[in-house]
Amino acid sequence: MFDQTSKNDPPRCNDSAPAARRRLGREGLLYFNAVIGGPPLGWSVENAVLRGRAIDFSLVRKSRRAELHLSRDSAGRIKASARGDLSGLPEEERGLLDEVASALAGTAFAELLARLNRDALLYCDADGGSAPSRYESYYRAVDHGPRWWKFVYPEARFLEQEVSFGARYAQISHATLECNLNNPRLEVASLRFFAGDERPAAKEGRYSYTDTDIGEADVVGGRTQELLGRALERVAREEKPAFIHLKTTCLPELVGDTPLPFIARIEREHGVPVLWTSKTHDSGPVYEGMVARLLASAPLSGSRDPKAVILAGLSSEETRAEAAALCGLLGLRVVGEAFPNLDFAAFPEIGSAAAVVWYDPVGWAKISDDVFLRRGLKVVRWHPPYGAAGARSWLARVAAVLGLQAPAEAPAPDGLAELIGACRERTVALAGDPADIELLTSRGRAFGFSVAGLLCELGFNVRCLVRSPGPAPRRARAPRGAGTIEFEPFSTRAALDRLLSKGTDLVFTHFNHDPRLEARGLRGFNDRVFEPGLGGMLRTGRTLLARCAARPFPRHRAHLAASS
Amino acid sequence: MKDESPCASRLPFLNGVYIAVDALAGAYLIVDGPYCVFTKAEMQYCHNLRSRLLPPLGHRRVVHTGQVSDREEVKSLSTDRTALVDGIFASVCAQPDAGIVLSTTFDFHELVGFPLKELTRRHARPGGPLVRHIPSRSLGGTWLEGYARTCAALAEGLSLRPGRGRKDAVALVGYLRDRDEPDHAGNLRELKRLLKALGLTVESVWLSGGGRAELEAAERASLVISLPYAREAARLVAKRTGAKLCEAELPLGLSATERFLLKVASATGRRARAIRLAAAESREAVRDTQAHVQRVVAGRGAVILQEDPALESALRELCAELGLLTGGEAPDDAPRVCFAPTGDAFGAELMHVPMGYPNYVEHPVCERPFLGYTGFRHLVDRVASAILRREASAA
Repeated sequence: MFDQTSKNDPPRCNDSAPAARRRLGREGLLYFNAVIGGPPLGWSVENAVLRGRAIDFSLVRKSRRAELHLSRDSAGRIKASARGDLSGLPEEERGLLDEVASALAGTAFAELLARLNRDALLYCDADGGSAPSRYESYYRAVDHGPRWWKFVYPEARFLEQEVSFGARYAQISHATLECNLNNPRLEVASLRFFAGDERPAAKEGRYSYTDTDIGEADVVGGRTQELLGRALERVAREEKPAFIHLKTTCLPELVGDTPLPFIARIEREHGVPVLWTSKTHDSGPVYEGMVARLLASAPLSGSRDPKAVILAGLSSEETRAEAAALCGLLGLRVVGEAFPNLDFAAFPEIGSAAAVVWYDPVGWAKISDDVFLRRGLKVVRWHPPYGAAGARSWLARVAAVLGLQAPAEAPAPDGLAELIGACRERTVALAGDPADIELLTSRGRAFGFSVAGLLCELGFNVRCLVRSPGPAPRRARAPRGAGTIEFEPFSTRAALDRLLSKGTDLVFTHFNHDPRLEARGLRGFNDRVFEPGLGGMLRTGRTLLARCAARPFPRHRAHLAASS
Repeated sequence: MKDESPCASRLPFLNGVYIAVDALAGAYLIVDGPYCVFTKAEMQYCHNLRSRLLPPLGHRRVVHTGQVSDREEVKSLSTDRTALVDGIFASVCAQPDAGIVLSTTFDFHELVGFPLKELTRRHARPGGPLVRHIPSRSLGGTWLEGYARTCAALAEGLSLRPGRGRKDAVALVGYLRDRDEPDHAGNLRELKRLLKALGLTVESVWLSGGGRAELEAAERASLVISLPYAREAARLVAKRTGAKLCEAELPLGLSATERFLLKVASATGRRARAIRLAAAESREAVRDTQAHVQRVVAGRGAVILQEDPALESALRELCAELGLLTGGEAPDDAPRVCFAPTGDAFGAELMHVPMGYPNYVEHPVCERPFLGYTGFRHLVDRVASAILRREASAA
């Protein structure tokens, strides 16, 4: 099942995982438009997406839209077809297909694909072969007894909610009390159900929060819309924030409340922009609209410096510094930041940027890069630079897209060799069914990196415990990276327990308090421990080693209660 | 504007229902609502280290009906969900350990007129689990109403035969057992000890963590002692069993505990015994705590932030007993002891003594009651510690 042919690569699964979605970068878009002979008159190309060995795109004119699909025919030429039934479309739109096919007749599909992939933007999202989210795999099901072997419940991250506009802004939640109080408000991370669930970090800038607290009388009296209007008006008039983020929830949407008239008036009369996200609508375009508005007010014009970039997807001060250092290896200078911080005004040189370079794009898929492409910026969106191999790959990609010379190697951080020596003394287990193990050993689908690959790179001995309903072969320990990897099957809960009971220091689980681990005094970890960059790799290794050393009850584990 | 004081939130109806279901062995709750029904249960999971609502590997005790393939729950309400919800009831009622299956509604689902009560009734079958609907007030009710209504639904539905009451046997109905941790174990041990000292045996506690049998044992009581958190249920139990009803207040603090004993004793003809007991217990409790109270506690200011009126009133009286100043007589600039839950905030710098629901920051390993005389000692201990820690850290 697992490809272990390359000694240095992380283990990969050969199962046909859904292909990651790639959208066209700046050069790709220019080339694509040229190769189809320019969009037919009055039409424009939208949503061009590479899906494995196919290309989907739309031709759009006002409200009309034709969905087209390009693939390779048996002779290697491009085959154009329509997505969906064309018979109901006007003749003109049916003619579009012939027009595009004719323009592409002289182009080889492989050549087209290669050109588009050169600067394609990698998305790991719901449309791009991501793993089932925690919502689908855990929350929606009520009985998890039959799936006793599951440890992996990846959370779909929606980081757009964490954008910071840098200035003083206000959030209004139009919701009932029952809705607002739907999880612990106090920061008690150690008590939470899933590990890593915590209150969002305080955003930069000053921030206020208002609940409309819809009550029974408001609903019965038909006053919910009025409540919303009053809250918006009061916040805009009294607080005068730079922005208002309005969130509407299930009940007001069920009764038909709409903030649109209020938003128009508040923006017109108070000059306060309102970002409205709703329970029943995709929030991506709303955020895109706000980013576009912010970009429009940023000085992104005039002379561009090809070595000046805006870094995006920075989660901490450490990642900020490390990302800038990696860019420095390519001779790039960082003149601005985007995501989560969108306070472009804080970067006086941002106007000289020629490109946006994503450091870690995982979780930001809802906001399309079109907003940057439309401003003439190049965009680099690739696997985040986890570990030395990831950093190498990231540097190579940034260099390729921006036309630079990639450095031979990023320098290893101090202490790495010593850390690897300590990690070699420890064994980490990854357990689950084959799909879970595939997620943990492959790059991109869930986390943007291979958990097994990084652990091996750090020197750990990785035990993959693979649930198999029937007899399955064991694959003996083999060297991988600086560590080792092995695969052991199990078919019953008792067998899993036996495997966990010896020879393991740490186990991957998304539960904060996993009864299967607690019964053996084992501690858990998950993808949130990993940090991008080489410094991040060092911190990750140290954190994991500390968890290995923190197994409780070293002499009394036999007294631990069995898991239920 | 959001208030960041330690007791900022008014807890809504479903929180109280969840607390009750967590205090019932073998109970399941079906909530007609979206997946937030699950995330809301996490509040109880964090409050109660032994919560049974969300076992990571088993069947969830709180089950939502919004299990639709379309992620969007609001739009799904326009479809006929009867078969889906009927299937959920069938599946939950078939759980081998299901002794009680309750149903209720999340706020916005109240508006769509879904026949949940009728579906609930359809699954109530002889020999099966007790299946009852709790009329929802999710849109406007409080958590205390949620708890009380759950107890009332049980009192209406359980088997409680009249004429089975035994002499000297009592049932405690309306105890707010919000978690399976040693604070409540200690409370129940203390209440049983005091009632035993009056010559009374506790046959049943509503709610105590026990299951259907524990609740139905209330029929063996000749006196129902009604505590503040389920008055209607206590009236129903007394009416259905023919037991005498005695409405008592929360026995927190020396005076309230004494009144509790005298009230119960009066209802059972044991007043003189109760007077002797209260005098002896109070004397011992004061002796055990007088150094703490006189050296550390008395003269400080205190603030009580509770949305539970019974607890607030009892704490106010406790403050008076300890010489804590709760009104304008407390010096403005001195830090105050704060009796509040920890739902929104914990003020380590405030001399915060967590009281009330939820309490995320304290999970005692050993019994630590807050009711009765033993509870009084523990409260003094906690208040004195909070004051001394504050003093030491501010020095």
